[in-house]
Amino acid sequence: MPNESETQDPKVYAERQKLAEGIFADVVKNPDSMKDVGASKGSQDVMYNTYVEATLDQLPMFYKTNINELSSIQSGTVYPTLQTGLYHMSISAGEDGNLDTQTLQGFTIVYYKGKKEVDVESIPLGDVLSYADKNKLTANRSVLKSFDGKTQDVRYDAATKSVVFV
Amino acid sequence: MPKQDGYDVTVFKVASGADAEASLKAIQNGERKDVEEVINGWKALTDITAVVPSYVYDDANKVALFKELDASYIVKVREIKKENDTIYPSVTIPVATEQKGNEIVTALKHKTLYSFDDILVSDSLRRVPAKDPKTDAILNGAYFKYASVGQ
Repeated sequence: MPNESETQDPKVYAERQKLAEGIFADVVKNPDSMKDVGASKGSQDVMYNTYVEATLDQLPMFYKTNINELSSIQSGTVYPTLQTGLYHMSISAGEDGNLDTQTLQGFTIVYYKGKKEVDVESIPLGDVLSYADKNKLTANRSVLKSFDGKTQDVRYDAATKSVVFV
Repeated sequence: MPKQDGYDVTVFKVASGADAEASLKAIQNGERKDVEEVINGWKALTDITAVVPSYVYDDANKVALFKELDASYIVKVREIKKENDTIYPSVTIPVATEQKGNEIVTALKHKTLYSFDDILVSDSLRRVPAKDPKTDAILNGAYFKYASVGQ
């Protein structure tokens, strides 16, 4: 039956930690087994995830807060310690209109596969708004017409002394 | 529903007894006088005529006054989207200097892409065994044998 308890059972927590430490030990010994080990334990609330060439915004919150440490190790290796705490939190509107918060937390084993720097040709609107929000910049939104197929881009506009996304 | 032209529009209702022509002049000058905003944003023509039945778009007169039975309305059209146009969002970020602007453009265009695998072991269970509320014993299949749709 669904677990609707909102309190953490210390006994369950200890059991889960022991399970995670066991998986961590196995993965450290044989990193290639990560997918098989993780994917085979789905029924035990163990989740295997893979992210390929994702921007920081596309990664779960756990990465956003720890990216410098997690990406500081040699690529192709397992991060040397088991990570604990929040993995991701999402907020969405429920059927009744109230905001529903869902959190994923526990013990995370991380395998770093590398990173690369790229200059992108076009930028999604969300990236511009997100950047402005993070850097406390005023972003004035409007709606313009365009012909089909036009690619939107960001540039500095000297006439209006603004960064424009059109 | 057939496609329609879209209007980026604000419709103002002139207050009862107010000088509608004076309100029109104020709005033409970017001000407001004795008016109440009743429509704002991208709308279809039918949305506008539902409020202002006599409304007709005039390309040479984008801010215009219409007198209806219940009140006078001022319609201000900022932009029109033809049915075959695509509308798209635009964002403007004012900056103090060109250098700052170029820094923002570089930051937006330059991306770091990461690749990771991970295993998350949840610290609690999403599902737990059903237990007898009196004895706390885990219920087995026998407990459920009387359950049926009819009961």
